[in-house]
Amino acid sequence: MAQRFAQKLLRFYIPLILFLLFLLFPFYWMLVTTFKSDVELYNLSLNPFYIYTWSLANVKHLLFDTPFLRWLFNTFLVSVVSAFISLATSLLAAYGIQRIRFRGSGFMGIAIFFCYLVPPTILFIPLATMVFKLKIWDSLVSLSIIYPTFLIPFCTWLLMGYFKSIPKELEECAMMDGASRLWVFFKVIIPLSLPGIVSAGIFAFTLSWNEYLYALTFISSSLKKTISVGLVTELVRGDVYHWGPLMAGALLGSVPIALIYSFFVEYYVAGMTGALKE
Amino acid sequence: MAQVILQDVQKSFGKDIAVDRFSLEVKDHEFMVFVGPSGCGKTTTLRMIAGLEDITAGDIYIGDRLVNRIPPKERDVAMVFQNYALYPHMSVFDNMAFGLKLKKKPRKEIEHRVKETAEMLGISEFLDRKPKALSGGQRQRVALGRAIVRVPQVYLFDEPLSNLDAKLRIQMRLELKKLHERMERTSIYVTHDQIEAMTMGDRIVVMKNGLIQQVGEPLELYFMPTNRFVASFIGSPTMNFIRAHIEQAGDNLMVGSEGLQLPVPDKKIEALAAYGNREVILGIRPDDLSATGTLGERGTLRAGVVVVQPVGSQIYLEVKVGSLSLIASVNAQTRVKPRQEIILKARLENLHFFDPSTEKAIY
Repeated sequence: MAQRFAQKLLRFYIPLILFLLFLLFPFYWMLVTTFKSDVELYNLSLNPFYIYTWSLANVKHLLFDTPFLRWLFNTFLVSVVSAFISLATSLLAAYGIQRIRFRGSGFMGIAIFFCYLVPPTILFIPLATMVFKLKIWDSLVSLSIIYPTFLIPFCTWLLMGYFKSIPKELEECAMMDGASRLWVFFKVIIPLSLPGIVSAGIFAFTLSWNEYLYALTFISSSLKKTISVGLVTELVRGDVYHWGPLMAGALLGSVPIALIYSFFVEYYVAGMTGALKE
Repeated sequence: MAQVILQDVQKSFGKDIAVDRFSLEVKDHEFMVFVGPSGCGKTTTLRMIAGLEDITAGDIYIGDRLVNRIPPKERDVAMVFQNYALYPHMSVFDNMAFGLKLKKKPRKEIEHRVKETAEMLGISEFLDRKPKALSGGQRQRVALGRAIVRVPQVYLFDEPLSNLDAKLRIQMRLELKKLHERMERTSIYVTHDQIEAMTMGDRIVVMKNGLIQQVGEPLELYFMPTNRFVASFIGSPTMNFIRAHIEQAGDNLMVGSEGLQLPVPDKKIEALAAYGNREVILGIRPDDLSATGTLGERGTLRAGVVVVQPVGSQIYLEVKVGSLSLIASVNAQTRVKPRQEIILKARLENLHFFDPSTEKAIY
């Protein structure tokens, strides 16, 4: 018994704890830096892992001296809109490719996947031209319609995998009972794929939330920036890093994501494993 | 009136032909069973009748209507799937009411019909549950109920019992049969289990590699199989097949192989005369070998017992006759042990003969 516990400790808990420490350390660093005063932060003789005197100065600076709340709102808006556009499109695309065996559906699936493989560092130049021509430069509209370019392939593939796990007989049976294709889609497929849809939605939301390159390229006014760009462009002046507010921004910026993940964790796990349990 | 008629129906997937030259007339109210090994095209044929699969060539009629291009929902058929295909997010009631709701039946009528059907199947108490809270047998009943409640012209069953345990399967077999008598609807039932086919079917279609091998009533298939495949597929334990020679011995025509000599039954003499001094395949069902013979009697053979398998009502014996290995199904009262020698008596009038090149039965 003791031996078995020791084995489990060695093989399971210790690696798990090490892994956890490794993953959580950046968050701890963020937290510690956020709530330190500058004096303490730059004093190298002190223990950097510990806060001697707590201070809210960094948070105050971030919230009141920069448009951080505006960035937060921008980021949220862009993420929700682009996640919504992507989901609506991907649901139809994934269903079409997976279930309506039209000529070239297999090729279509692969073609969509290849879109995902083209890196943004190549795409942003042609996309910039398009954004200019559409006269949506320096507006959140540009991000809301550019983000789906990488979100749709991603969500489509995730949902295709999920749809595959739903037995075809469910649809066939409904059709024999007199249901139309659309009816089946809305009353059978969508309710059954909720975990998949939720996890695709979360992914789309997170990817938009964290996006940096397009946001940096297509937005220039301070008030229209997203968090990821705003923090770096406004809190790093030349070679001066305002570490305190930067870390406060990073911390506050990751809180919504953490909340969403913990809220939907069950759906999300079910969505990733793709299993439909009857 | 809803007979189902298939005329030269063919289905190919690319280059592979799944079903070929399938012609059949299922009569109104008939219980027709499609049976065959997996991959023989029986399910594909059923799906073509349902309209879930396009047909490559040929015609299908349901009633008097040519349904080749009619979508499933307008064919007035209901299907029970092997995996039940219950909607996991709906209660049993909603599952059963699904089709009726789509047909925009009044709520009162839906409720009445679902409840009536549920009662008939003994699932009334589960109407509020979700499918995942039910056992396999209960789910099976719900799937059945969902098909029955609509009262279509034709019922299609795709191996509906294969996910149940053996005991439940036998019970459901009986219930399905009773249900069929009661509903008076044409039913087509697909299975790979020959016992299911024999016990349930008014008629049976035996299929192999996409081709119909034989269509007939259960006992017709058992006693008069048209070829070696049907003979081996129907009946359990499987028929013994022996490569044997037809020889003239005095006035008698004898069929023989190493260690085995049997007189050809009178009714087969004419047909087998043409095979004189040639090879045939002799088929003997295990049931037609009994342990009641005395040596020297007509149609007896000396055998050494290898394995004894009592199944209750019968004892299956694996025996050696010369170098041949045969299965005999003998009376349960027979006292035999392995390595013992016994005298088996063949029921000569039930011997089967097949042509070795075409494998067709010789009548």
